[in-house]
Amino acid sequence: MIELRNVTKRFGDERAVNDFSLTVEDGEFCVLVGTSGCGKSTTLRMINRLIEHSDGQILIDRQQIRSFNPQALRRRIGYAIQSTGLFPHWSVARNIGTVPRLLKWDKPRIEARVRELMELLGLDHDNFAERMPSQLSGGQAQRVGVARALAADPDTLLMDEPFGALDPITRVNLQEELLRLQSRLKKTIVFVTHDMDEALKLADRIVVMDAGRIVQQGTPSDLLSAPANAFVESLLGGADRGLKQAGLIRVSSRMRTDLPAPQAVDPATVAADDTLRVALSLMLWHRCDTLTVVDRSNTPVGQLSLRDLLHSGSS
Amino acid sequence: MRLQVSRVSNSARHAAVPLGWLLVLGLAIAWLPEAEAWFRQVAPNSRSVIYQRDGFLDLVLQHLRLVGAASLVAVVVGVGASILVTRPLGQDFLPLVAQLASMGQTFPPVAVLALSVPMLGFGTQPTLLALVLYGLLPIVRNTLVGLQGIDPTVLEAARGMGMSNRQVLWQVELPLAARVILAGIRTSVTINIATAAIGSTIGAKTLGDPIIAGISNGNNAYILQGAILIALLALFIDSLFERLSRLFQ
Ligand SMILES: Nc1ncnc2c1ncn2[C@@H]1O[C@H](COP(=O)(O)OP(=O)(O)O)[C@@H](O)[C@H]1O
Ligand SMILES: [Mg+2]
Repeated sequence: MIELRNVTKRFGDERAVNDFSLTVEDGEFCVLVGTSGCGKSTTLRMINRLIEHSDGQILIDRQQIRSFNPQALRRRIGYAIQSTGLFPHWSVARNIGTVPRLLKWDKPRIEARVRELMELLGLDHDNFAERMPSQLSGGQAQRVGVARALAADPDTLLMDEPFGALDPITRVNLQEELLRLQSRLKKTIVFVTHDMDEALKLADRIVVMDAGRIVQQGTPSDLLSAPANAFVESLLGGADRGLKQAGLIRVSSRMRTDLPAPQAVDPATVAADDTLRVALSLMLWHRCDTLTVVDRSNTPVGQLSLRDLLHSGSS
Repeated sequence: MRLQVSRVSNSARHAAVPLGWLLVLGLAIAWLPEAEAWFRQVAPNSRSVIYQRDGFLDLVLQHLRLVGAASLVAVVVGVGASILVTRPLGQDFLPLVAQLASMGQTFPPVAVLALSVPMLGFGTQPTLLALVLYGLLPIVRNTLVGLQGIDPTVLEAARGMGMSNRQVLWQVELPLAARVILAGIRTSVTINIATAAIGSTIGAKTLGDPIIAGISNGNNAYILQGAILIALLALFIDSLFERLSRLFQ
């Protein structure tokens, strides 16, 4: 658990972070979002003491971070950043093993851990272990960056726009991978982004920042259904809000499970685990108001009409 | 398999370059005293055409010792100072040191010699001082460039992973700057092999001896002998550095 209590960071007279209070529970995926320069990175770096806070308290597992040696603190917190910061003179395997080596694990244990992580992040060990960072694509490099952050199995993970420099397709892939990992690993994550779509997709809780302060925090659907002010609303994309909200809801939660008669099966289908946003798009595309819902093996499991999509008992 | 074989023979070929220059240097040392007929044509009017006050091998070794000692001091001081002024503690001195480094090379070594003789007398010591000062500058300049050219996000990651300052320096900064630092040392040593010759004007024993003697006696053969040996020595040492710098690619 990470707690920030009335934390302030001053650079000279300027307050980069101002009276900031936040609690991130164990296993929670918390995303700080806001425009550039609003203090997201500063907040993140105060948690692992790359920047010392000026006022207030920061606690990890109920202990003041100032009671730890900064190096020891950082070795138990995973840290991944936008430009990856991979060590260009070390191989992929050596990069991933950085923190375990600092913690003086023995060699076989480090080797086994590196293998495990590469597999976890979909990096073929034989192919990639001995490559240098300059021989990786942006997406691969960022996978290595995430693997390195996870290497010593920290409970806490700090990520500063880790996918910010990737092309949209690679970014979406890595976002999904991160969600898959998180459902398995249950780390306590503080993730920084300026991309609200990324925040909506990843977060258990979104913290919207502006000028060093928290403007609003809540679940993605909290924010979408009740943005606190015009600033949050504009971050959420103004008129696109409806679509973004539809992007958070699965077809399976709105579909009717009564199957149409086989002869009436609509040729237009949507997967049950797609979002309502996709379903709406398909309806517009096929100019129809009912879709047949299929499961992964393409077997019809129900149907979704425009009416189902618009009204619902739940959420 | 084939790839590996070709890599081995490749590295053997690179090692062959310094060895080749060493061989040429050795041959020159052995051949020069025997080449009287040849040098006679360069200086037909001189009584003696082979420099004989000291053996050539002796002069080469003395020259090397002087340059080696000066370079060692210059590396330790230059790299050390550059590291210090790029730490938070020494930051205040960074502009001063950087300025000295860029300015100093315009200061002629002859002037350093002339200024240091009154303090240190004649002989090896003022020469050493001049060589150290002169050799410091490329080393400081390159070390600063190397250390300051490291991607700051790499340093942030290093600290963020929990490396101590010392670990960041030894495991990240110095290895990443090594190539540029080495290039500075290479420049420094090569320049000083040539510069050391002027030490002979104030009584240090170097390969400048035959040159100075040749100039004062109007004996071109002596001058040529000193020049040939200095050039070959410089080529040999430079090829060693060239070989060494490959290790950092
Ligand atoms: N080391 C620093 N020295 C002075 N000002 C800084 C420093 N780091 C950040 N700032 C300032 O603090 C503010 C917040 O920066 P940052 O946390 O990096 O923003 P974000 O990550 O949200 O883009 C900015 O105005 C920035 O200029
Ligand atoms: Mg930032």
